[in-house]
Amino acid sequence: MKRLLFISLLIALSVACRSEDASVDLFDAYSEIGTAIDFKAKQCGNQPGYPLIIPGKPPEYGVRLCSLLILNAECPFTDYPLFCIEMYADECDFCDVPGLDP
Amino acid sequence: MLMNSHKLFSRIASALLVVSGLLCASPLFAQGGFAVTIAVVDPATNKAIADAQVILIETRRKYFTDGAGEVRARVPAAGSYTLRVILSDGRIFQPRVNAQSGGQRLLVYAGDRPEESEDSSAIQVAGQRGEQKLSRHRVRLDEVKRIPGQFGEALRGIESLPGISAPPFGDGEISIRGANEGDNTYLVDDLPIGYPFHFLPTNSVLHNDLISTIDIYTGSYPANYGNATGGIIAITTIDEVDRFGGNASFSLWSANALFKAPIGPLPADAAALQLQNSAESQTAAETFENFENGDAAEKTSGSQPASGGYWIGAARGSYLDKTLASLAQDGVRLPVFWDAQFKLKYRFNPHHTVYAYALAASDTFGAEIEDTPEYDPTKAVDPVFVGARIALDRAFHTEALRYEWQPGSKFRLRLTGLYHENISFIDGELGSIELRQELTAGYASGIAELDWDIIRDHVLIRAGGEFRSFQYQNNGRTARLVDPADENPDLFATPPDFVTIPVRDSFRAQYNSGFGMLVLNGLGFEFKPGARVEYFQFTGQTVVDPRGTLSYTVPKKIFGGTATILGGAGVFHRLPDRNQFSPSSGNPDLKFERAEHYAGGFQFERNEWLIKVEAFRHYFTDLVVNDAYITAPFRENQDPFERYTTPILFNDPLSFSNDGTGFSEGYEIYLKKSKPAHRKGWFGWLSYTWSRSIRNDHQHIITDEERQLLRTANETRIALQYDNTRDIYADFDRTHILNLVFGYKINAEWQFGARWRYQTAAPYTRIVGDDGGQQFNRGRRIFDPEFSDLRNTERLKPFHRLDIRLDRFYNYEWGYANFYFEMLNVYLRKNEESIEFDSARPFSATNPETTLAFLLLEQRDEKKD
Repeated sequence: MKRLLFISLLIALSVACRSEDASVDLFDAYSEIGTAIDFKAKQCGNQPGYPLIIPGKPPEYGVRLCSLLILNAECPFTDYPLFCIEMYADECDFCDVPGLDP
Repeated sequence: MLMNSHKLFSRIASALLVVSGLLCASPLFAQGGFAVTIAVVDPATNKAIADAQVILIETRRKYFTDGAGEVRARVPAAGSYTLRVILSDGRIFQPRVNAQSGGQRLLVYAGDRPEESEDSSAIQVAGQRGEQKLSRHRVRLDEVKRIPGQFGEALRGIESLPGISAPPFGDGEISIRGANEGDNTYLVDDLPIGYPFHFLPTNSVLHNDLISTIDIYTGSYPANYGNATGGIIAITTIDEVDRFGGNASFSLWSANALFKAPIGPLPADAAALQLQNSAESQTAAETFENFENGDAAEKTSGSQPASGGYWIGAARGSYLDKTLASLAQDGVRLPVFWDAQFKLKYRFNPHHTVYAYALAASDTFGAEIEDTPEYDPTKAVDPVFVGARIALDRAFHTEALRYEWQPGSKFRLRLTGLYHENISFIDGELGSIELRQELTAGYASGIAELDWDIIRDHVLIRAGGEFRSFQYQNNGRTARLVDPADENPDLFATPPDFVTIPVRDSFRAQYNSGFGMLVLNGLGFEFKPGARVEYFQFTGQTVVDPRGTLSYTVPKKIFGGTATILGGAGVFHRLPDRNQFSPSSGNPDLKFERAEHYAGGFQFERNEWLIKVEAFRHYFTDLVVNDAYITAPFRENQDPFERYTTPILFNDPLSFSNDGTGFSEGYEIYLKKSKPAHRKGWFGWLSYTWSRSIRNDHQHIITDEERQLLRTANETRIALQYDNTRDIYADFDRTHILNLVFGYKINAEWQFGARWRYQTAAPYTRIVGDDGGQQFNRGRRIFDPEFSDLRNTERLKPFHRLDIRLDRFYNYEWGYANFYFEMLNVYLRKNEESIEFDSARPFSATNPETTLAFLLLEQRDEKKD
């Protein structure tokens, strides 16, 4: 219990110190989003009929946002969430959605 | 227009600036009085010391010695005065002098005179001087107080010693030579404390300047210590107060203060005090003097008075809940804590001395994660913790009276009466686990110890006994698995995997112990055989622990130094944790945990250098482990309501057993260069430990085949008798631990320190998948990780880090102020800290992920148009 408390305390104190390494390896990004898509596809029984292309060195925030939005999406699963566009934030200006930031 | 660049920029290391200072005051004297000559002399050569700064504390005047080592100083009236002498090489002394008439010449020695090294009035039995050499390390306060990276907390210094395994940002718990964390005993002047560190473990529960030395026994400790299968941390408090003084320090999260004063005649000038007028007495009382054990040697001339004593009071309070509140997550109330210590000593005459102690500490912490919607899912709290709450309070207090009788230099009797109590309260909820317990546990005890030097320097007997009345109360409720064989219980399953059960414990029991040991010296050998007996009435168990050490010091000098061969072994027992032998929620039949220690090695001392090499092997048996299968055939139902319908429970789970075993082995190298506390120069040590720590809980692992085949409870019970477990690395195992500690006192104003640490990472169990997201907490899906069957086989990359510290001292006539600057992780090592699984996402290449040690930040560029 003491260890749990201490870990909680460290987490509480290190919020401002969390690493903000901005990019994810492409393999890791496909793995994260791929498992989210697989899970949602099994849950809903369907999935979009087109692949989700991930740019090279995508920002971690965009990948995380996209995978969580896929997991939380309502069935039927026919399209990828719009805000997955954040994965392209380093590639195009309009992809950096205002109000969404790490 | 914003550019779309999210590039990494420079890493920055966090540096923490912690400031400490002194709050002091001193009244001014009116002009008048008479002039005296103060001569500063080197005690070794008897030569005068020129260019030394001499501060007359009471008048706050500074002088510099001339070529003859003399200054002319004016004092307001006859009486005793305190001088602060600062030599050009940085050494500081604070002697007291007695000025009686104009033109008087007062001699001040800058250091110990050879003939003064023995205090003729202090009776010391030989056994007190002959300390164990094997597996024991002693550090002084000045050696550990300013080690970088520990925020000025002296007690953290023991983490840099051989045989100690401590995580880089740990909670203060240490593993000593492979014993479980928490299996150690902390003692302050041989008195118990409830816990060594606060919830914010940058602070211990003791004021730094109350500490004189810390002895850590990493194994084979002597028979006068007990209740530890790991080691003993014996803290000795300061035992010399010759004037009223004190200090205070403050940091971003807490502040503390210590005051002390003599009782009765001052040691230096008992007679002179009688001549002081009332104004001077007031001066002495109002003058705040700082001291630092070792840094400013407090030497007095003349002999100790026949009677007299001192008191010391210290306290600390936290305020991080105010100053650092912005760093905490919503719903988290940062810890609030305080501690206080009081010590009083009075010597009626050289034969009779009494002590009084009061030690106390208190901590509170609370957190509640509210169920609030989050627009950005990446910023949402881990779904496991949504709705979780915890309130945790704990405190301890120890009060003691001690009497020492020393009729001569051959015999000492020490009688101690003490009361020690631990109080804790927990109220928490996480999924289907609900806890609420109010626990008080403690004891009143009477202790008698004697040292008898039968043949001086050759035969000494030490013996003692403790009669302890142990009491324990625990009321509330706790959680227990519905299916004890469920290896992966779910917090949010429906129906729940946990059930809440009441806890109603209240009992008293004798926990008595006695010890005896001989110290035999002769022909270079030192043999210390001993034994300890402990009896715990609650379980009726009696244990006998034989122990002993043997050393041989080579009579002739080798390479100009002293070489000693060391060896030792012993049996050690420890009482299980209180909640583990709870009659209502634990196993009241638990036995003592047991350890055997074996160690050997050698040490070589030459001048200020020490080399010590030791190898060890420790065996652990009867370790208390979580046991899902052990049950009581029947026991009384503790539920106050259900007991009317079901008074007796059959096959009731006991939750814990003594099935655990383990061992540890390794070797240690310790190279230390010491430095007299008050001198400039460098000191430091290198400590290296290679070790491995193995554990086995001997809890049958149910195989997939058994799951399909076993149908009845009896079949399961039979299968569980088969031990199919394997030895695994202990959670705290670290193969290589290397510490380099360096301190350099440049002069009276500056000191530099550095520490480099290298540690093999602790083992962990690989996560190999998830449960498919079958659980929900308040509508949020939870992916529960699944772990590999190969427990504790993975490790993160090694941890290493360099910390540096610079101290600046400002010396004034009233004392000094100290500011320091610490920089952690100087070369920006990206140290991996732990593996973290995000329960909001399924297992993938990015989940789990490695978290980095905190205090290392990464920063993005500002977006540009």
